[in-house]
Amino acid sequence: MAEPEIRPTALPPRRSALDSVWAPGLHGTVGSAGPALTISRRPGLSAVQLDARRGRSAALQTALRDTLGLALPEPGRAAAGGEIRALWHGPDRWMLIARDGADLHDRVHAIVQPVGGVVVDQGHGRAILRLEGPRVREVLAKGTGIDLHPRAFAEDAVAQTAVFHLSATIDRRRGTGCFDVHVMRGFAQTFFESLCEAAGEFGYRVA
Amino acid sequence: MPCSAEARGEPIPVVGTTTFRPPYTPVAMGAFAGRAAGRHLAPIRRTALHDWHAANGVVFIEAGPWLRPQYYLAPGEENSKEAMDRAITEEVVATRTRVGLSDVSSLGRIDIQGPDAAEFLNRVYSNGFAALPVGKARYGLMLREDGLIDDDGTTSRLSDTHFLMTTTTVHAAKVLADLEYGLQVLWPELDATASSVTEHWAGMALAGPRAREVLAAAVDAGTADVSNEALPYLGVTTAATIGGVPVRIFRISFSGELGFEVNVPADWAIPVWEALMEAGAGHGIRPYGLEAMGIMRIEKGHVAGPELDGRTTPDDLGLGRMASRKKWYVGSGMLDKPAFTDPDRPKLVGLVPVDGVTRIRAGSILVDDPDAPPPVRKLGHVTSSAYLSPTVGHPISLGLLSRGRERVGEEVWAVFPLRGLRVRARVTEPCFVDPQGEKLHG
Repeated sequence: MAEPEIRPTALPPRRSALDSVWAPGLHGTVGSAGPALTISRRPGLSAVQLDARRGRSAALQTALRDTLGLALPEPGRAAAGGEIRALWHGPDRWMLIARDGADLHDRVHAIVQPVGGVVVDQGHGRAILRLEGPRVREVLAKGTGIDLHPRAFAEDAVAQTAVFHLSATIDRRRGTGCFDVHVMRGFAQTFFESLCEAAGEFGYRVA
Repeated sequence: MPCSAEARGEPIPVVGTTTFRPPYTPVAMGAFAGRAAGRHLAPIRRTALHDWHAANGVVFIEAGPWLRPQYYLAPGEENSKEAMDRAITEEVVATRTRVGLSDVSSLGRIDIQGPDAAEFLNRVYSNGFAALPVGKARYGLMLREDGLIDDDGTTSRLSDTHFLMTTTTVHAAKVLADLEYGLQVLWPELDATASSVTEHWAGMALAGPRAREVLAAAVDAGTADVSNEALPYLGVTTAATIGGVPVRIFRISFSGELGFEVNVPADWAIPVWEALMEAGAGHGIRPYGLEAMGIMRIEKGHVAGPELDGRTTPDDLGLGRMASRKKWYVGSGMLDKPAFTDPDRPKLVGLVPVDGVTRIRAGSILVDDPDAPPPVRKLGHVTSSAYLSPTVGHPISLGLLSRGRERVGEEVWAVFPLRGLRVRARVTEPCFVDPQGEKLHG
């Protein structure tokens, strides 16, 4: 039996950094083949940063594999386990993403704290945009030096880089042909506007 | 070309002209700029409360990439010099006599955890942190390796092994880089982690004599007690919720008032801010911006960027007691070098115009005799100025003055030769309001 989700009834809805500028519909020069890029939001996600303390990386990885079936990825890679997606973020550091209400912080904390893991809530500090469509690589190429061709940037590849002069994480999702781009909340509007400028010549859809 | 021809011993036509490189023909600058113009010229960083400010008469000011509220106009009011001065004065008066609310989201926040977290902080701060009790905040000073002040902020102990550090807005990234350097290079034996959480949290400062009543009315019943007994000065609680939203409350203050900083997960910032505004409506609450905050911190003699300019020591700013003599920390070995103990060193003082009305510009040079023939000996400079302190009723300034502490009560000249300005100024103590801190502890 599924457990009911327990939340304080008074908790207000989350307001994303893009609420005031998000305009669903077709924009830019849309050709007969339709928009070449679709931008969608992934609001209301939970995100936690996970650090292994000194010398505890192996124990931490074992604990997460045994409990959640999550194998923490190697440098430059992402991995999924159950409903959690883990992105490599630095030496002995990962970002874990799950849908809201998954109680991500407390669940992961309970597993990793005894074996030397540190969990820091980051869920409200990031905006995540999902980009897909035939021109997605061309649009991103205007803003980043990373080669996103599948030969160089395969499925589950992750890069921490600059996109439109902002620090961002690019995550090539497995089996979907889409890219998730994570940026800091405070820069989300600037990033979105730059992305729209770059996509304008191809025509794009805001979902 | 003639020089080149002479050096090579050849006629000019043989040497020829310089090699053309693209663009071969004139190209409009706009073509290089492309779409990187106007609002796309540089990235803009917005706080989670941005949309509330924009809907409530704010005038924004740039603080690095951040847009922060400078002051708030009344509904429908046109912006002008007079409107600005009136708004700023009203914001200070409201906060000093009633209650004000300010967006401090841009302050750096760094989450520090691990069994060695306390020892780590003890090495990066010049004052002691090892004995900070759980549930308490402490003002901390960081020095550079050369002993000059690097940054300041408060750090709170959330559990035995968990701290939250705050930094100035400007130095947030640099302090994090310094902490990472310490953990990876200087002290790899320390078991601690440091992570930026600036963007996860929105910060709001609730300050003024009515701040506690407003906070108590906004906090959900039964979650946390914010009375003076339960949450004394420098107390911290993570038990409160406001409108169902879990918040962290720190009893700290930059304005020198009874004050609380409330940290809220950013996606819930606006409903919590609105709950505080609603709880304060009957108390005459007013949002206040950077100008009012700047005036109030000058009134209190609290140092900020203009004083922490990379040239000052703790003792220069009257913070000498924060430089511990009992422990080692970054910069501790440099504090006794002769230049730092020179009695002629400029020290932090207050400055007021002798005529009681003339504004003293920040950046003015302090001299004994403005009519002396050059070179005129510089005694120091004016670091920060409030053109009008609504609380004391006249302009006030902070400055660094050679032998300043011995000169309290004397007069000097503040000159600004670039604009032909000179003001006779009296030297005062650097704190103009509530020097005993009774408001802070009230």
